[in-house]
Amino acid sequence: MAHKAQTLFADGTALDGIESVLIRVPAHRDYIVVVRSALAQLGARLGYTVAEIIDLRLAVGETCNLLIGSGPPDGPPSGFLECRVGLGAGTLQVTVLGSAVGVRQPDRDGFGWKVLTALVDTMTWVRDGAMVRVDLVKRHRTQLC
Amino acid sequence: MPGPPEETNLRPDRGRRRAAALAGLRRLAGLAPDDPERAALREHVIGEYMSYARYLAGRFQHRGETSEDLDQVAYLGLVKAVDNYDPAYRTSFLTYATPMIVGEIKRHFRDTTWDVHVPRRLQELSAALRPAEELLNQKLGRDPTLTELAAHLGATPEEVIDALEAAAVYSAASLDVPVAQPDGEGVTLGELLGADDPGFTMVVDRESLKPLLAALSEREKRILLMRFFRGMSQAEIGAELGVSQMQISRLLTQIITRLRAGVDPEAG
Repeated sequence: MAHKAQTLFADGTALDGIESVLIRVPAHRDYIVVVRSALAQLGARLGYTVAEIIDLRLAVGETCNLLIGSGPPDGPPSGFLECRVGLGAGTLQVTVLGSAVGVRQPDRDGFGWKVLTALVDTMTWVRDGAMVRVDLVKRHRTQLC
Repeated sequence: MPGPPEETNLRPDRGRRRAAALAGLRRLAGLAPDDPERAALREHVIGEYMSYARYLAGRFQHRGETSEDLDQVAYLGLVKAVDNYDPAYRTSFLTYATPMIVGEIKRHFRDTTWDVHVPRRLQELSAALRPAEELLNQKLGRDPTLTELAAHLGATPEEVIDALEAAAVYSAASLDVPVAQPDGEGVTLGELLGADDPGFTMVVDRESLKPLLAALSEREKRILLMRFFRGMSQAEIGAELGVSQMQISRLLTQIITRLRAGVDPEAG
């Protein structure tokens, strides 16, 4: 399932040889469970704790939901949602890419942003033309805690 | 990274007391089991953290137990945490104690309450998760990985992940029970949070939020994110989770009140 690839990180640095998994699903709420399941499996593979896995998939799942936007929940999916997961040493880097149409960026100083970033280690939000890219990094802390 | 949560964002007098309790914990860990000083020091340290145990018990009070019963269960978890904490774990005491206290409370409920939709095999596995996590935590001196947990339980990682989802179903059932509003009567969310309450938004930062969020269920954290990250209305959240707007309103009020009490227990 994983393949060796060159993964471009949020700060523009590329890491050779990191394993990455690309999940592309229709931009519809029903498919977010696919992303959530994959993250749990990948977290288990990297030795994450249950609490770490719960927080990561919650953060990514809510980000996916936000990028899917406020379209009619029962209508056909418009567009796609791409989720790239880079598996580093004790680090999962998740990049969620979706359409920027109708998506409102949450207030960076707001309470919701604080809650989401408290569940992961870092989060960046980049509007790139018609697309929004959100990078989330969750490190495995077992050795420290 | 800033210091552990018990050393930040406290008033000076509270900060001193917590620092003294922490010092007590460290000394306790170094004392011989039969040291005459031990009993008194242990009692003092436990007393210092009892308000935190009550705060954690508060999140379960809407499940039909008297608060005294739940407080007792939470104290039991606190005593275990104080007795087993080792500063060599290199984790803050609250980070160590929170899952232990919450685990004690969850175990208290687990035998009697279950959502009927969860298959028995998953119920059993889900019920075994927290005790196994605690056991391995004590053995390893850190939280076990999901893979270690699965191996310990004789299950596959896939089954453990399914059991986690089952646990989420369990907590969903509690949404149908009207929740208590300790001091929330007639208080709107806007009054508890945001522009009307600069105290809350000013004090809370990412690092102090972490241990408080760790005490919330996945579903409770999700509701917070739906409301404040995705900016959904209470009615929209209710529609997505299949419960009424009123229930979401009560639940949000309760979560925020608890978070606020956790930021500064004396401001409750």
